[in-house]
Amino acid sequence: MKELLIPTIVLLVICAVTSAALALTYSVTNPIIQEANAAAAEAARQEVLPGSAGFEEVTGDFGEGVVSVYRATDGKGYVVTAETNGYGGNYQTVVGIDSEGKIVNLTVMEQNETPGLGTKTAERDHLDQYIGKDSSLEGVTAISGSTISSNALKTTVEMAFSAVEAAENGAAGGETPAGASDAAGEETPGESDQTAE
Amino acid sequence: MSKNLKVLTNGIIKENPVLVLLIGTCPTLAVTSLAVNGVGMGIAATVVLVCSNIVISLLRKIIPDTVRIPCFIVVIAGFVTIVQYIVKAYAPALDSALGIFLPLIVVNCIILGRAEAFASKNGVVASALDGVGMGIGFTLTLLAMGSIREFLGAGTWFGIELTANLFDPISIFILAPGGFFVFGTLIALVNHFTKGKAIKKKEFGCSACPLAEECGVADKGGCN
Amino acid sequence: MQNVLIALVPAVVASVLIFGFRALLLEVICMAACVLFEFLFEKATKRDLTIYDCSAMVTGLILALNLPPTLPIWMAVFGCLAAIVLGKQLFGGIGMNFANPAIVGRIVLLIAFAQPMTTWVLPNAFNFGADLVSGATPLGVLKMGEAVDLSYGQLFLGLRGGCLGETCILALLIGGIYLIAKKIISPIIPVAYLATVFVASACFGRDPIFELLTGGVVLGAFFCATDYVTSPVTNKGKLIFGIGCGVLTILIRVFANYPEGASFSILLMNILTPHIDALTMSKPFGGAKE
Repeated sequence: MKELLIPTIVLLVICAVTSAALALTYSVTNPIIQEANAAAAEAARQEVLPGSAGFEEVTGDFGEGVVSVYRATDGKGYVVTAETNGYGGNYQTVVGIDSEGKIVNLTVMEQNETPGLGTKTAERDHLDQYIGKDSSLEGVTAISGSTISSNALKTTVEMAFSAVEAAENGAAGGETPAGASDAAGEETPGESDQTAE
Repeated sequence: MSKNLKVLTNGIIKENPVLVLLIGTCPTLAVTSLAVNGVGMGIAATVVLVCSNIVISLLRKIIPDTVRIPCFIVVIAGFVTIVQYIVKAYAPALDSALGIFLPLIVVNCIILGRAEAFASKNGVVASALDGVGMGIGFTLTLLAMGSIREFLGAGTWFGIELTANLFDPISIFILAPGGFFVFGTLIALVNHFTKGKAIKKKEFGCSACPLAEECGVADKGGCN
Repeated sequence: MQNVLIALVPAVVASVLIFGFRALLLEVICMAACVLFEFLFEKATKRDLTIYDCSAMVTGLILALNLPPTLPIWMAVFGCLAAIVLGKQLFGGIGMNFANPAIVGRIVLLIAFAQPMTTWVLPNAFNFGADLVSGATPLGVLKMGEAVDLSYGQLFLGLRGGCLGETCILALLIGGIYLIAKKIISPIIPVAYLATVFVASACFGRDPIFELLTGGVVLGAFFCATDYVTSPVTNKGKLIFGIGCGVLTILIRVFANYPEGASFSILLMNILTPHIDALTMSKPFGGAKE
């Protein structure tokens, strides 16, 4: 009996003490972690749509791969995070699109592409060609030898454009924050006397 | 005192955990594509190693043999999680660089191996020094591998652009094959420079040798 | 070994006619570098010198023929280092390597220098490399989903982008037939490899003749896959090896992200060779009863 009891008690005590230590550390560090995460996300949004006063999230079903859609509170535009499968894994981009439907800036958050080939699609030289383009993405070229990575980038940008369009129309089942001007966008275009965009 | 000094310096070359004892190789290969990641991992693992060695040594007479391994793992996992929270809160860049390998320190063979082979059989001071020595050896190895791989594979060192105009980066070194090449070369170098002085298999016994099942001489007392 | 060098002469000549004298430069430097690395390694490890058996020169030449014409020289030398030291000497020298050293060197180069190894130039005539423009190889064009604008005649003669030695099929066939006629290599592996590529590509709806005339298949089939050390011993084993190479090449070309699959398929089959041997070699007379 003793051979069963003592090991069990020892293990129990060790587990209890460890759990207490963990709980203590968590309570101290968790607020800092949350704050840091929020700040990093805000910084990313500011980078692709600079000069905005603040952002609010637009909820709704924007299709698979769209991680989040944020609207700038001053109406400057939208920031969309979209991801798709690249050559070596997830390819996630953050795109800032202004109110005229043109790309302000974009940055690659995550990619696992081939170093020296696919990773070039995430570099400024290649990303800059997207700036100023509208949803037709005319004139955008791929990097030779990295077709899949280039296409992954292009796909995420296209997803961002469709998400913005969906957000403007009032995405299915989504709520848009109070004060937004497209609350009536759920009516089908052409049938209301409000001008379609 | 010199016995403790010996314990401390053992882990750096003679019994270097990665290059001689060949434990802890997974994080070594995984995080050394950049020197700064290697050093970060080394420091995190050292902190866990020292703390867990101390605690396990303190508790060595209390922990019964039957629940030895679960107790070790709970202690180690506890320290790893604490280190993980602290890194996430105060060094988030390191956290995203190390990724899954930070929590995987729990199953880093070095920590469980030293707990089992040393801390559970020796006093607190010696165990702490062993942890420090092994940790330094681990970190130095990661620094060496990370530096070589980053320099050759990306042309930088700790992010400082070094070879921009000299030669193109040789990308294979930051990928898996290159990691193995560098690792093998470092093991060969350490073998060469410590011939006769590094720990012989006889000293750490067949139970710790990775080839014990296949060599055929394990039950006859081992090789050399 | 000297016979292999002789058999490769047509391909060397073709490479110079098509891509210019840089081709010759790369070929000579690769051969010299391979011999040098073998010499240095054997001296440093106090082993017998084997540089006179020409195997290092053959490795160097085959590696060079597998490179794009524009590859910087130092990268080619790095490839030679990988081929000789990594692919051959570290395992014990000739006869002990697990894979074709030239293939090892090429694959290391492809991973190490992805962009320079996939930068191609297009020839338009046998004019010693005058007016070369950069562009994609036929398989590269196909991988991007576009149509290839070359006739079978042009492909057969080698007037297309690609590695130095892979383009002129005519030259490679001359060399291959020479080796078979001299009984240096058995025809089973090349024939099995090429026939499988023909059949398998047809199964996937691709033009079989195109698949044979493009990429490194012919070069690989006659000169790389037939290496004695790294291919099976028995005829049955050779057949399996050749078919395996063919299947893997087509699978990589169709489904994977690389436009060409010959080197990887040969490497993978090299790794399987000991197992193929174990399955196909019969027990010698007088062996113990099971």
